[in-house]
Amino acid sequence: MDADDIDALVAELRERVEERRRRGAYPPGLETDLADHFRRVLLERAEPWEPPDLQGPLAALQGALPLDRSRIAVDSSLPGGEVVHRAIGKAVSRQTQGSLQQVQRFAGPAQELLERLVAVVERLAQEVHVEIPRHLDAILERQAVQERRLAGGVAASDPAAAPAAAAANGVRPAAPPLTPWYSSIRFEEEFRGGREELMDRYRDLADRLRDSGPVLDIGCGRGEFLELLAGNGIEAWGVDLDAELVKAATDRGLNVTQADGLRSLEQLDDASLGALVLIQVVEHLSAQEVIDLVALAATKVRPGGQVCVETVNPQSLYVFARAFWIDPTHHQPVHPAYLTFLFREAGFPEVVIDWRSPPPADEVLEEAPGEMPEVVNSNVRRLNQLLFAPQDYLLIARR
Amino acid sequence: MEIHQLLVSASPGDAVTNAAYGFQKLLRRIGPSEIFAHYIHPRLQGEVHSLSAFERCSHPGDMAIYHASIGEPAVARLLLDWPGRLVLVYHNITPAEYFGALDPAFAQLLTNGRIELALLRDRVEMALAVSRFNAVELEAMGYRNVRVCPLPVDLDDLAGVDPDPATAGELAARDGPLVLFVGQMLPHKRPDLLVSAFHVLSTHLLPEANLALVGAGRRTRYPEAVQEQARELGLLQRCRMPGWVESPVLAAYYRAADVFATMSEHEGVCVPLLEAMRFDVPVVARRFGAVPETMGPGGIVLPPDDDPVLVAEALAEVLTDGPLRSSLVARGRARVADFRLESAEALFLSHLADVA
Repeated sequence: MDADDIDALVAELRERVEERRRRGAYPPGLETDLADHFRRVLLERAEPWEPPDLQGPLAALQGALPLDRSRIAVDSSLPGGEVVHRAIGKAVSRQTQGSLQQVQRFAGPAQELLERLVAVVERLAQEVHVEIPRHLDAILERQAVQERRLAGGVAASDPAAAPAAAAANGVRPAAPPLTPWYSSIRFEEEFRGGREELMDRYRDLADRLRDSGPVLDIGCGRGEFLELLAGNGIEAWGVDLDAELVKAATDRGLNVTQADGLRSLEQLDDASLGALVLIQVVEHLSAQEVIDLVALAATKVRPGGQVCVETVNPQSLYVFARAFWIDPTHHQPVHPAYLTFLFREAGFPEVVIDWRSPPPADEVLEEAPGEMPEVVNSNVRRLNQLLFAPQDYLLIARR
Repeated sequence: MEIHQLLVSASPGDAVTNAAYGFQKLLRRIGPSEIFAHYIHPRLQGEVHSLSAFERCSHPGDMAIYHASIGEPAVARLLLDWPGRLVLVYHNITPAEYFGALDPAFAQLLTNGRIELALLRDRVEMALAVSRFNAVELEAMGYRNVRVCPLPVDLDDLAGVDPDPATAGELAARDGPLVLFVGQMLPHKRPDLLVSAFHVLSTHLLPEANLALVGAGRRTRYPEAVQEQARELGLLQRCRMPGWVESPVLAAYYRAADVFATMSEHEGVCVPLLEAMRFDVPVVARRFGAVPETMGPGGIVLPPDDDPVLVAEALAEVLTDGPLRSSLVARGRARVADFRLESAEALFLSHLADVA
């Protein structure tokens, strides 16, 4: 990887952002909202505010009324001054009182107006808070939390969202992510089988894909199937979400990346795959992811190419008693009739099912020996069909 | 002739002060060499001396190396009047407009810094720019004899510090990956954009992700506003802002980080980028100032726009794409190797020998 690769990666990220915006994965105007929010926090938050004292001046005003000639001071520091003031006051008392009455007629309503205004201002000061922007932003915060919950809940339907954690498959599980403390490799060995065992089990499928390169193996795990393909000289690579399994695969020199399967598929050029393989993967997906996967497969696999999906067979009740629920990341089984329907609807003209992994013979109900009424063994056979149908099926869809 | 260094402000952990200490170690091989500053943090009293001490002890034949990163009239006056020889180390001066309304006094110091730089131009015999980006600025101001001289930072120093066990324990107990920013909480570093990007990351892409913003802020509304922004977006549970921390705590953060991100719009060098690469942490930054030059091909440089969604997608990509991570770590290691302390030291001494 050099500087050009980084530029290419940045260009790819930009395209992805635009594409996801178009698809509505991000709320419109999110970036502007976030920028505006910070600007409000930084610059527009009013400091807590105390209204000024309005009652003091109002009381002083009330104290100054009513206006009356008798309230005019006549004292004086000069000897005899008070007598002179009184005499002059008396001489012009009619004019003085007349002027005061006119002013009083103005001052009375003005005082009443001021009292009412003060009452209004004080009420506003009590009820209207400068905290309002803060409250609004607190509401935005709760909205953000809701969005986050929602995004967590529907993440499954959003193939471009990044993978959460640790399901041992190529696509993010629909349920809340599981973060196991145990080793995924130990889990695989315990419940799926060792490397040789798996290679024996899928050799026939690898042979079927001769001349079908390039092959993408989603949920490739430790890469046993990729090894088989490499042995057949078929160009192939894999993706898996589990870092430990990916490391185990890359340590063996296989071309495997830790990535979300749907996301990886989405990024491929149209009609660029010879075959797409998902072994024991679709039972980890949500219903939406399954249909998204089939739709994507229809565009990414070239005409004549194939999609091979192996998954548990929900028509075998034995599967549910023995295998299906061992893996806590299993979401729901996918019925072969439904999967066949999906591929046909997506434009794959040829869809065949290969039934695989019959339950061990010693688990199957035995027919009654000797002379028994036919109905007994007929019932045994019907029960066997219901209980002990093959545990897996392999769907092969050809474009 | 003695060679001394002058700073506006000396404080522990500060990049400019660290550079002065780095140079002092080299200068003391040649002769007596002291560091003088206008503001001295109490912890550095005794190691760093006052400007009046410089005026008392220096001689007209001495040489002063002045580290410019902000304005201070007292220092500028002293340097203009002092008869000795002058070498400039240019760490860059943040454009004042980032602080205008928020911190007018600080904005004024930054403006002064550029004015003082212009005034000192004809007094300076040689200007050492800590990056090519800085050199270009000096040349545009008419400086002659400008040379690029990387900072004498020993990235192994911090890498060798034992991480603080309490912080390491707390960080280990978290679930989900950690996005780390180290740097001062200043407007031009844009921690607010990183918080916005983190909102997108944890809301739409990786709900279990965590964010740590490690670094001091000036006493303005800004760091508080970043905190409030995170609180109002409901991110505080997954967001830490411990402020300035001691080296062992910083080492613990670098060791725990899954990706280092800086949204900074102005950097003369950006040492934390190198520190992150030294700790094998992949880095994501934006194309501003000396960032691309420091980063080289060692990390992801995003375009200089303000899209938090693009930043979030880049962070998610680095956090979830294993092969990309390993490739970035390898490139970071290779990049760090270009910043060997010995080469920076040798270059500094050879520049000095040309004028001394």
